[in-house]
Amino acid sequence: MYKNGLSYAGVVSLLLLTHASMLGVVLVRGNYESPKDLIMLACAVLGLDLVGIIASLCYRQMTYTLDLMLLGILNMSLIFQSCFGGVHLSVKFLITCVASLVACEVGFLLTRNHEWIRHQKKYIYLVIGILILCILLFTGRRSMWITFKGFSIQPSEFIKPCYILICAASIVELHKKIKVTFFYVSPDTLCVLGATLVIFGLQWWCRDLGSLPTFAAVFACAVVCRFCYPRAKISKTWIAIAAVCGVLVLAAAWKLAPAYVQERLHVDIWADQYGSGYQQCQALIGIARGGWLGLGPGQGALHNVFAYESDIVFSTICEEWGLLYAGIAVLIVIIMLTTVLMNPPKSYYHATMTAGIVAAFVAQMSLNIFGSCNLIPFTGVTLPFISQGGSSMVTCGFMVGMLKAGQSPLFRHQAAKLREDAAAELPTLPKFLQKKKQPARQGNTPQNRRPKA
Amino acid sequence: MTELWELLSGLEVPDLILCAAAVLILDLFAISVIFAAGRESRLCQKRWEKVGSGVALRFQDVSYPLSADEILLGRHISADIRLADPSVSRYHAVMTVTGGIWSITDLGSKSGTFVNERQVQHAKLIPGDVIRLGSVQLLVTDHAGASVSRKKPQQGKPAPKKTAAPKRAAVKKTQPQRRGGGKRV
Repeated sequence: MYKNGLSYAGVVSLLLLTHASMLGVVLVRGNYESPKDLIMLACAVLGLDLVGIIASLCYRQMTYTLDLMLLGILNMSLIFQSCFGGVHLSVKFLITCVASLVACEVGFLLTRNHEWIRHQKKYIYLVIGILILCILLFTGRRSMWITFKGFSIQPSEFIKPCYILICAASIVELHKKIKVTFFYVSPDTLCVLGATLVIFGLQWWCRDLGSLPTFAAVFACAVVCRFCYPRAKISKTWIAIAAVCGVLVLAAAWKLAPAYVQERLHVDIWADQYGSGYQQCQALIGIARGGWLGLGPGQGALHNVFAYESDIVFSTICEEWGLLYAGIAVLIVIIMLTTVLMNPPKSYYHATMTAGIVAAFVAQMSLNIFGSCNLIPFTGVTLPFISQGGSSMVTCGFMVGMLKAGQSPLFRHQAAKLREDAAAELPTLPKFLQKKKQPARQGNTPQNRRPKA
Repeated sequence: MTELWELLSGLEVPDLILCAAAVLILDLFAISVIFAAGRESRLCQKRWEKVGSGVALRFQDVSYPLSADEILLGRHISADIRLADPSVSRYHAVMTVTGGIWSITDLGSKSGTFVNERQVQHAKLIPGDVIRLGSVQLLVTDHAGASVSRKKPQQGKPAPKKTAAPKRAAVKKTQPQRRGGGKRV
């Protein structure tokens, strides 16, 4: 930030200008009852921008672009969410945005030191176990949601970053193998496989098959990293075997899927416009109605459809803001993920972690957008950073913090101490030190004191 | 205030121009972020060279700058620095850096890892150290390729020369293979 001051000042100015221009569009085209609503929204957006920028200036790190992009996309989402069905500040979403920014910093600080975090894997397994227990004990019957006094939490969202972390830890410990009958197996790989089966089984049991592809994408990424370990040539034979196995598993899942999944897979939304295909039909009509530039903030009709702010949020944005704005919002998330590739992580742990996070985000975005557009079966997952949902937003923020950690793997605090240790281990001291120290030692011992002449 | 508000609300700005301007600003933001990320990447590389102490690993005439946090040495095709010698295990040892100090850790190899002819499980490295994996010897040098001998050569230990690679006779006829050639990282 300090060395590229001018560049960052430009980006920050454009960030503020972007949000100001969006607020300008709301002012001119928006559906609001009183100017007070708009002023409150403007204060919240620009205030969050300023607080976020000042907070990121408070401590030095290697990357600031991820911070700025997170801030940009969160405030864009705040404007989108506050305009659905009429302009009014969505306080709930504002709180989740702040929670997401805080989670980002927490994720960054926790995963920055890969040496430390990879030794905490038993605690990460423990956290996954506790979350699974919570799902089994406290959620409703075969559900993923815990509802408590009006608040709903989805614990399965918190499993995602933990699962990515254990996948990364397993890659690093891959060389540690034990012999079981005739085969050498890695205990960490077995643990990850076990955790994967438990998570997949839980989601199957809870009928939350929407999140299953996201976990599957992370697992596939970990498998590919396993073949690529450590970032070198890929064994084509094993990749071919894995691909065949994957296709077989998919085919089996397709055939053995429960009835309600089969219905979704084969539904003709236009034939059943007011039944199973209602949401998707309305979503597609909304996209068509919005066109390139949209009907105007708060002018759409999709806010009457169930899950307009979460599952079909892409269509709602398209209707009110237009396909251009919705596309650019998604593009900013994609840029956030691709900038990570410009500065590849320096350790296997961070590389695997980054790959897993990118895979999770891409899978989730694809499921949401293509599902809304009826290109794939509708799964009902959230659009990262844009959909409403506290658990999802906090998890997304945490995972961006993990991405940041992969970009800043330097341990400044330990450097001085380690240098001292290394210097102490040197077998020979520099000559000037030897000359100074030897007389001092001799002088201090009474045996070496010479009597004065 | 109310009059100003009515004036602003009454402005007839064509929707198309307004939206196009907003989209353009959004695009500019996205582009500027990409440029800023590119700058950060270059700065991070410079910083890395500082933190990584510019250390390289020299094998015969080939120098391998250590520009990652972990470098795996071994016979396996996927090792970072591949030493195609039968005395080297598939995953022999891993070199890691923390705060500018490089260290080597043996990964349970059969023939062991030696630093300056002393068998080690884990040892910190400085330029001038000689690593032996099986019968393959590697010299730790600074980034420029020339070794800076900070240690006094002791009796019975190979004495690395100041500016030259280890003698070919001391190393078996094995060629390390690395993705993208020797000089890259």
